Amino acid sequence: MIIFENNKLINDNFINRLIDDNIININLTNKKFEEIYNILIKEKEIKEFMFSINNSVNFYFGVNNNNIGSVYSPLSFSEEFSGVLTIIWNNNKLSLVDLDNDKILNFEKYINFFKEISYEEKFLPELSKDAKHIDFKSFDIDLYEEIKNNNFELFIKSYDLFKYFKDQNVKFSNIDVNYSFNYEIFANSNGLNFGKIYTENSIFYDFDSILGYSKGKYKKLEENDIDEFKTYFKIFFDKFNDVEYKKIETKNVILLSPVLYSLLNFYLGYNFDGKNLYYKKSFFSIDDFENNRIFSSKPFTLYFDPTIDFEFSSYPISVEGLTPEKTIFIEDGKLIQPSISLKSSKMLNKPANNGFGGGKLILSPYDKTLLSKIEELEDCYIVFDILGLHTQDPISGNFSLSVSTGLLKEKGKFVGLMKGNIASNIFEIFKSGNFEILKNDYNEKFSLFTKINVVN
Amino acid sequence: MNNLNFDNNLSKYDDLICQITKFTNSLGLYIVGKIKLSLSISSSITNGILNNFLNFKELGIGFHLFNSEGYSTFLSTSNIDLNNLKKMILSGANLLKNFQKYYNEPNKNIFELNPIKAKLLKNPEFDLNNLNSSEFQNKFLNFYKELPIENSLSYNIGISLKYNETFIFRSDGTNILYNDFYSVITGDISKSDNSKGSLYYKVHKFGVNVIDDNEKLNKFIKLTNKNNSLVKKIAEADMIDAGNYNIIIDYALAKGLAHEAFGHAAETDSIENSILAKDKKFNKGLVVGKPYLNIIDESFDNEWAYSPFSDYGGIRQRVHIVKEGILNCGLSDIFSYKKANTLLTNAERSESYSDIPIPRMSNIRIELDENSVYKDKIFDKDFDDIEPENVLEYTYNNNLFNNDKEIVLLSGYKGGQVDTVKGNFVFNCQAIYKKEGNKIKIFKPSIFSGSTLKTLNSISFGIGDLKLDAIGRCGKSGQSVNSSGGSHYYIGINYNDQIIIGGKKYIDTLI
Repeated sequence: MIIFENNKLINDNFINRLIDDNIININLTNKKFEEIYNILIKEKEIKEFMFSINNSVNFYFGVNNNNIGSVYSPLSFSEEFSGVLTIIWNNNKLSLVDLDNDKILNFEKYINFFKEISYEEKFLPELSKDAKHIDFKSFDIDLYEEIKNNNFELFIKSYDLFKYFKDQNVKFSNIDVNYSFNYEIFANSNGLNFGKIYTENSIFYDFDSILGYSKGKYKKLEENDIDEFKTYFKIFFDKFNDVEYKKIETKNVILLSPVLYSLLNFYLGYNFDGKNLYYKKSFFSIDDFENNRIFSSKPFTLYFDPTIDFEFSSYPISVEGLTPEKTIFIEDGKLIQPSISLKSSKMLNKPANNGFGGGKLILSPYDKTLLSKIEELEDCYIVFDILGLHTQDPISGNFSLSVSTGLLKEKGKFVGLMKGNIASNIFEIFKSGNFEILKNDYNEKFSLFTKINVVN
Repeated sequence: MNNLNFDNNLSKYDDLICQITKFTNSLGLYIVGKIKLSLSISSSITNGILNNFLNFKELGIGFHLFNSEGYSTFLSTSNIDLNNLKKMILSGANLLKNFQKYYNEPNKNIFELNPIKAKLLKNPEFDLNNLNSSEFQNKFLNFYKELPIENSLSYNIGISLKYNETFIFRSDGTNILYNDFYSVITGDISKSDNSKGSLYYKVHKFGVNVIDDNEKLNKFIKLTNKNNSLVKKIAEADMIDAGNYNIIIDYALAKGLAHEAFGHAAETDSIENSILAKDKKFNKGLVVGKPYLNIIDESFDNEWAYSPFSDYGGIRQRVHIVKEGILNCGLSDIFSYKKANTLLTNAERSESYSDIPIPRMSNIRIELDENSVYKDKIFDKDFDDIEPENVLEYTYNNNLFNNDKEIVLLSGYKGGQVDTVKGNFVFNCQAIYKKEGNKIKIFKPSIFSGSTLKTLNSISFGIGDLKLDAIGRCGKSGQSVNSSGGSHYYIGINYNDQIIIGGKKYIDTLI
């Protein structure tokens, strides 16, 4: 919800009420915005600038190993003023600044400092002249009322969930519940400025440190969101028998969405990065994208959508000041475009985009649903969680990972949890066509079936 | 760099803390918290081009409020203003009143502590307030020109200077102020032509701007030269066959083993479901290794993971976690030591003012009894001057494993992860060495994973002196703090079917 545009707060009864409620200090944020904007616009040595400031409050409640409200996870309240600032000076130097509380409140005294910390950037970015912001839904009045009245229903629902899962023989529960209310204001030297408010609600549940599930939105989580936790639990948890060591013979592996998304972000995020392509630090070359070379012998499309209402991954304008839009990286199995920042746009002489990871990940088309695939397979190893991804070498695509939670199915029956190590090469999996995209039955994410080596 | 106003002396908040403490006491509440200041300057050069020059400052206050029944709430803000803090405290107290009925385990341990007053402010040899950024950037660029750069490789060289100051306070009058500061230079070499691979390495120093330290810079140049050759070999190397081996790890990997495989399981905030617990308590007396095995955590002065005080205001203790193969003492804080039934060791740390302190390691080491350590003359030199191939040959020639299984040597630490509940750990190396026929062959890195207790019990010998300067960052509970440690130059781990080197990839086609 946009409440500030063209240097003015929108005059509306509801917005006036938000200001009077004073959950966060909207007036102070606007005042500081105005001061900062006026200083930057009048500073003769500045060619271009872009900045955002964010005023937020956050409420947290948690359970730590069954201890509700322990000293490690008590009811918590935090508030913060933060922001970022980019300045391009007339001498073509660049300053990149994190704005902390002091720099926002006392901006004027830092202007020389910002100049002092500038550097000569060979690939000086050009801020977008025609960028527009979008207004996806990010504010929920019901959620706001809960925050305002300190009537945190999700804290109580998480307490009920804790009792429910205790009855389902979960020995140790760890839960994190968050509420927050933010006001973010953005401006650039091309005259674009706006302020948007957000309400956030999220919950993470960890069952016996074996299975985790999370949900978060810019709106109040309702009963059906909470039921998702129970559904997910019922599908898998009662199959997690503790069993004696058994050698895993199958190569049928299902990478559930948390694992698949981690692999895609780690390997594609790095190797699609325009800077890494320019510096020849990528598995791919810029020619691979220019010639739309085959990424996967099986056609599928991978894109990010940052415009969906109430989604955490949506944003009104990118961190670089670009208009949010659907960005396709792979189409029909072919490489379409790398991830291009304003800086790598100068390096590669190509238009900038919203970058890999900017928005909700969509894989299309999917081959089957997850549960139908699990049902179909007589033998398979379902990977819920992995250890060691951050230690891998992204440029090669090779991975050799330990499975911390893996469920083995043999001869049509679920055996139980079994330790294992999986090893393959992410790019060769796609290139070979040795995979099926699976749509999760219980949420809007995707999982992947493939055949890879399992050692245990 | 002038007019920074970094305010790098938090003692100016003495009066404010005094007033806040009085205010909370008047409400019948107990306060324990910290003000943290973190300043840093960092920059990187990729293939000769200056990529960025960043500065970062974070300052704020975070604290627990306890009521007399031992129920608590945690509040934090970047706005250290008396009126704002009073308003927050009143809101926090009100929230606690409404929600304490859902709490199930109040904790009154904080009330037992005796007050401490301490001030330990050291003078850094660099001053971020007066750093000339142009001069710094030029020095960094000139240093890059001294590196042995090869055209077929890509280089990303980073530098970072950091200054932290912490002010800890409690209702009982505890008032502790200390600082720490360090700099680090990092290298990342990649090969991306026909064969692909990359290597990461770093050189650091406490208290000194590394760009002004010729000894450290020369060491970095030497490492770059060595890694130019290594990255090409790794990129062209095969992957090793997955399986079980006799394993030799270097001291940096041994730090990873001590930290990931064992240290986290000894932290008492989650001891209830740790593999080192029995009946939800720290299982003191459990035999976890051979009688020559010791695991010790200790904060050293002027060291990467220096943390002289804990975040609740205690003096951090040296902890002999495993003594002569037997589980001895956990890494604890005031809130968990009784429940875990171990000693109070004041091991809690936090990354930022807004983070809740949790028990965690500082510098952790594996130290073997001298009768189990081989100290031949060939190891009587700097670690970087010893070739892994020679260590592997030495192990074969002297039959150190005393069995006929194959031996692999893992070199260079690339990070790890642990599951303290199930007792699984993984970590990764930079390169693997293995004898094939009469030649020692190098292989691509592979994950080293295993069961914590089986692995500790399989440690069979050490090679060389202790070396404890392997550094890293630990990311427990999403809070990143410095960690360090090591062992003897090399550690031998006997063949065990629960310790696996992950290996060759498998590509098949769907039927």
